[in-house]
Amino acid sequence: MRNPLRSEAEAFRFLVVVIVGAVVVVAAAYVNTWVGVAAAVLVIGGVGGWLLRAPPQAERAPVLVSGTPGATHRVLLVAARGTSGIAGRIGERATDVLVIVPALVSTVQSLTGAVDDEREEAQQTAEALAGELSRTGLQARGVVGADDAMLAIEDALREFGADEIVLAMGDEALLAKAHERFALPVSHLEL
Amino acid sequence: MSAHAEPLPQGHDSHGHDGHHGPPVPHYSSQVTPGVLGMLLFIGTEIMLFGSFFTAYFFVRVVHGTPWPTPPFHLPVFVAFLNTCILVTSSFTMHWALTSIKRGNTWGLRAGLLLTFLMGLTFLITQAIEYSRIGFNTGDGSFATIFFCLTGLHGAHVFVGLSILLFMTIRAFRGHFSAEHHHGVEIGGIYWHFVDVMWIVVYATVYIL
Repeated sequence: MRNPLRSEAEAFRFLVVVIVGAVVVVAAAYVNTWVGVAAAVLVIGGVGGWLLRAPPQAERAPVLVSGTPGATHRVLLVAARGTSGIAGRIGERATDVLVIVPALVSTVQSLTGAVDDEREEAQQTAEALAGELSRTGLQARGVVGADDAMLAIEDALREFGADEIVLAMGDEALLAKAHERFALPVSHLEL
Repeated sequence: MSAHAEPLPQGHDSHGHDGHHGPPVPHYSSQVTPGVLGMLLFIGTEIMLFGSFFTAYFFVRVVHGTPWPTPPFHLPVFVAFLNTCILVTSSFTMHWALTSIKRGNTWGLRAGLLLTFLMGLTFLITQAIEYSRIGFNTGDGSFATIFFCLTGLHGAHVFVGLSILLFMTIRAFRGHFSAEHHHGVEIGGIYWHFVDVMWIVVYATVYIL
């Protein structure tokens, strides 16, 4: 979705759209009141549609440069339940790794709160992956994340200042969403 | 989840430079920076504020059926149109100012901000003169009340925008902005465009329709 207030350039573009829309509505209203109402509905719908359209890649905010000291490189690893065999595959620069395993559940499980088994399994995966990474000399720990991958990453970033996000789950769509949402380098790890 | 907070080695800052002993610079997890998010939330509250006044406008005009403008009063549509042109042009100069500084053109920034400020000031002075000559006051019925509420609320926002622009212009002339650091202009620009967007809506609904 396009955020008209994300930047001055976006706000300016939104202003131009509003001016054009206002001219169309006023012109239609001069013809007939109801034509004006119809035009207003169409214009509001059109502006809504324009806002829902994702902005082109070039307009996205730049990826932020790492703020951690040179010797430290923090990686946020997001993995699905049951993931293994991750050691040695998350980049040579990594020094600290936080493993997040989102507790993904079905809608029914979410509504009924029957998530204990999934969380337990996610916890086991997180601990296993953290242990696996620790044995290679990295400082690693694993935790269970929220039941949505994006939310789990956002939660984790509030407490873990990552320099990079590595997705060891999901597909290209998830990668694209992460690129759009987080101002950090994001990569996808094929397992 | 426990916080990951390791102390930095003495004499190193978050960028790896010597001479700073503070904690690392916080990372942004979102593409929206805190400053922009603050402006976004502020504008959200502004939209709600304007929304309440527009609700009153539509109630008075559509539900209650009050003639708009109520005879024998007239609205200075042409003067307001000229004022609208001035305000819209000021958004273009604002955009020009920011585009200039992004390219490292500080004189373009200064000229753009100065022109934007002067046009905003012209708008506000013209509105004040319009108020003094309009021939009705806030107590002359619901039409007059809503007219002054909506245009006055917007005028107050232009005043705030002018204050921001004044500081931005002073800072620009003092050389505080560069191609890499111009966040202050970016945020002020968002506010100024928002003020313009609101005027387009106010002008179209109050003066024309």
